[in-house]
Amino acid sequence: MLYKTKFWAILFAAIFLLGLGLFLWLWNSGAAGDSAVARVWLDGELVREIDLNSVVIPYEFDVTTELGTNRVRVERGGIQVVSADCPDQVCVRMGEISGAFQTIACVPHKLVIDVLTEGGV
Amino acid sequence: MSASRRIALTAALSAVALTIFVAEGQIPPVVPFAGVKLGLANIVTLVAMVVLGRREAGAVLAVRLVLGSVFGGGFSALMFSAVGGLFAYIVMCLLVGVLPEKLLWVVSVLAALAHNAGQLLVAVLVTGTPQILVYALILAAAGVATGVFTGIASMLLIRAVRRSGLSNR
Repeated sequence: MLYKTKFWAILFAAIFLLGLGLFLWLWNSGAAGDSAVARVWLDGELVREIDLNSVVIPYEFDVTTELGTNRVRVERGGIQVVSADCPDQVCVRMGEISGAFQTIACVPHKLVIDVLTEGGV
Repeated sequence: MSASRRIALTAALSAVALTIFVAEGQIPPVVPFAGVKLGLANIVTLVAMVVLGRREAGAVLAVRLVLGSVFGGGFSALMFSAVGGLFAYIVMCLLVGVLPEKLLWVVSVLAALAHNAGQLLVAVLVTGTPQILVYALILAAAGVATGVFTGIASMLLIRAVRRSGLSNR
């Protein structure tokens, strides 16, 4: 069985479709929550919580550690990293997140931002 | 193959791997999630293993990782690619020569999956935030897609290297 092309093709197709499908489903499932609280984690510790639904005027703040700085933008219902002084810029390219199971990770700075929702999922 | 030819070919493949690695770093990623990228340099590791052997492939990988972090990326990028690269290398070591060569693309996919698993593991350990495990899903899907692509590229490159007469394996 392990020497058959067909076995691997089916297995990999299943992993691909399941992975992509489940991810997109989770990623979009929490988007319409009643409450949305963004949580900012540094090195596994919660450093800031922001109720995204109570934001009226969008604002930005810096998260700075000895590892570097990320500039975070908050607006009603959403949060994103707008700039970072790390080399890979993965967190900036992620764009805005707004729902459960959505996470922004800036690994070089040990920064993670996620959103907790209620009533959405 | 003579010893000097082996060394020369290993060095040449190391240079190719490093060039591809640095060049790929300049291209903005197609999928803006969790650092998903094609991993083109892994083509060279796989080709080196089939054409030269496990030791030489390990050398190509080590050179690419160390010099790659010098040319860009820095320490955190090195940790990422080192653990990912090592996981992929182990999978290749276990499977190259065991699976028939027409299934080399399978080795490539399994190596890509191992690579992504290694990177995510580092990300979780470094940030101490297991929430990012949700990325496992997209990284699995991406590993299949990129693994098939780099696997087919490897098979074509191996055929070309053999035809060129540079190798007798």
